[in-house]
Amino acid sequence: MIKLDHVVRTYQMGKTTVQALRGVDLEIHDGELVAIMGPSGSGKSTLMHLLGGLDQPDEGSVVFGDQDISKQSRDFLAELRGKRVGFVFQTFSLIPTLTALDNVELPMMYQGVERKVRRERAQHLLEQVGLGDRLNHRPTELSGGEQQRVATARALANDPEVLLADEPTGNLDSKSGKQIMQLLTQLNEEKGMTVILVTHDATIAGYAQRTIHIFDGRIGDAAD
Amino acid sequence: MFRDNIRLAFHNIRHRQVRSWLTILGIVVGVAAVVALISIGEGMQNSIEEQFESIGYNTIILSPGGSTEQASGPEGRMGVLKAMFGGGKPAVVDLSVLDRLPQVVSFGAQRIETGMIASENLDGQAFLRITGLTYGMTDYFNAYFNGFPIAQGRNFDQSDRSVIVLGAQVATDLGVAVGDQVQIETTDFEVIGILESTATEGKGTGGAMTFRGMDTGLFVPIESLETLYGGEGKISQALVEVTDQTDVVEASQAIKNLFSQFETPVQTITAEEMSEQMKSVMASIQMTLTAIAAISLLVGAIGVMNTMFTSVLERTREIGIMKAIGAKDRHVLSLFMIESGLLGIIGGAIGVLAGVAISSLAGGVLSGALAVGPGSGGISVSFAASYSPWLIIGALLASFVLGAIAGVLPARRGAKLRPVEALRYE
Ligand SMILES: Nc1ncnc2c1ncn2[C@@H]1O[C@H](COP(=O)(O)OP(=O)(O)OP(=O)(O)O)[C@@H](O)[C@H]1O
Ligand SMILES: [Mg+2]
Repeated sequence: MIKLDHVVRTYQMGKTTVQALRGVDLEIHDGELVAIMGPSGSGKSTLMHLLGGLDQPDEGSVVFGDQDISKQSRDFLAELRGKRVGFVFQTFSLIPTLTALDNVELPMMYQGVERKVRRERAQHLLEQVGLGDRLNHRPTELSGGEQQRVATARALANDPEVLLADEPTGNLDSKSGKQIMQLLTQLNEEKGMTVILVTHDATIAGYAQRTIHIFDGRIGDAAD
Repeated sequence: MFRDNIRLAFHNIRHRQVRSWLTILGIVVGVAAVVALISIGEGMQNSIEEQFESIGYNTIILSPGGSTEQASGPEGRMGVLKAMFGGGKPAVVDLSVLDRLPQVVSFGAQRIETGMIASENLDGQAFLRITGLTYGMTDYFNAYFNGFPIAQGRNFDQSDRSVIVLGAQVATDLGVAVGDQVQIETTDFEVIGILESTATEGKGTGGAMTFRGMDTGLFVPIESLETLYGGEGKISQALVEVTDQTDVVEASQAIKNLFSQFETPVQTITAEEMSEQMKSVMASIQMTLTAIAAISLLVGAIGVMNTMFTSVLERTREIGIMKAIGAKDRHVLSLFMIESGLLGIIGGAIGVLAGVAISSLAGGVLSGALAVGPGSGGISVSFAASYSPWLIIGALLASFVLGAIAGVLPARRGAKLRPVEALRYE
């Protein structure tokens, strides 16, 4: 369970202050598949970062599992992101100089998984996302859809409790988008993984059990 | 994890080949210069030591004039320089009083003048340094004259006056052979001997950079200089051999005291003092050069720092990704520090190889030797380099540490980036 309590996040841009989140209360249960929708600049990515411990709120609290992570150290958050959370970003989230296999291995490397073990697991994960024949390709040698699938495989490397995907299908055609969504749905159903995804696309949101709408840094009406 | 980071670091360096190599080049130049200079310097020191070992330390060098100070301080230094280049302005010194000292085994003197030289096969005339020797000098102090090896003809007899022994090079230049005449000022001298060329002695090519004095020496009996230039009993320098049991420093002082009663006081220097002074002169020249080389190494390190700052900036987004998937600050820190350390040690390794190559090449080109000492030719400072394992290990270690230190600031900047901001960086 992830619980946000009166979360405020403001960005200081020189003299102007941007309030990206203006007091968000939110609860996401274990095993849920949730979609977050809202106009551009409404604070979706900011919310996503806070949910996964990539960022911390200026006010309010974020409880992950049974721990308040809003005041934890940088190392604590790094550990949380490495072990319990998987991120998929919208674009260019692979290390460009590494092969698909190396990219998927990287999160396991930071957790000290032995080389041979993580190599096998990375290979297995890439096969799962249908890229068994692209193991040694670099990101530039992969299509956008393939890159997103590598990113998804990487997010799953340490078997996280929560998968956070920021517009994972944003740059993809509907067929590749559908493939990614099928994979996420499958993970949610078979493994009980909590999946939270940001999207602009109502069809994509249709896969979710619940859609959260966000406008101008505030949660709007939840439509089931 | 550390091993993985080393692998990643290698990968990153390989990936930016041109920049990496240019950065490494900066280190290579510095390390090569330092290694070359130190190894040549060490070689020189060893060569000085070996030469004095073989000559023996029981010789005292005596020059007219000067104070009674020891051979230290600026005046002492001057004395050493005088001794190294054949002595000072000729002055009258009665050496026969040396017989009063029981420690003295033998002694001899030389007088150096510059004279107008002519020969049949030489167009015009030449001003050259002429060395007048007392009889037996080259036998008693053979090593100081590089053995005085006669290639053709013979050495001096006691009764010889207007005769001359030539170094190999000067004989060629004057176009004379044994039996020919050489004119000094207005007097004819018969060439009775020509020395072996020192350039054939093995080391080097004997090319333009040969400093050896013996090849260009003109040797005559000291009495003939008295006839030419006057000044009976004048000498530039004397060599005194004492018995092996003698305390050379005491003997040196005794000689000084002895001569202080006479008109011309003398300055003395023991072979050991001379060896020490030569080594210390060499060492300070070497230190200066090495310090300059070290500055270029520092510039190389700044190059590494620059490259690493650029790298951190370029890879900001990559750092954000690494952090998003679980990298801690110290993982990022160590990755960048290893990268810069690797740049350093690769540069160091190539630099050591280049330095060894340069110094052995330089040793060959500079061929033999810089000749100094009485007789101007005996004590030759070889340029053959000497490589101690410590120099090589030290150079490698220093270049790694320097590289890593140069990486500290950039790596810290990378490690401290906030993940969200890093991810937004374009
Ligand atoms: N690091 C930052 N510095 C300054 N302002 C920021 C920063 N990150 C986000 N913002 C601002 O905060 C607001 C919310 O940004 P956020 O990225 O969360 O929006 P979003 O809903 O994800 O938009 P999009 O759909 O375009 O991705 C925007 O007005 C944005 O300009
Ligand atoms: Mg966004």
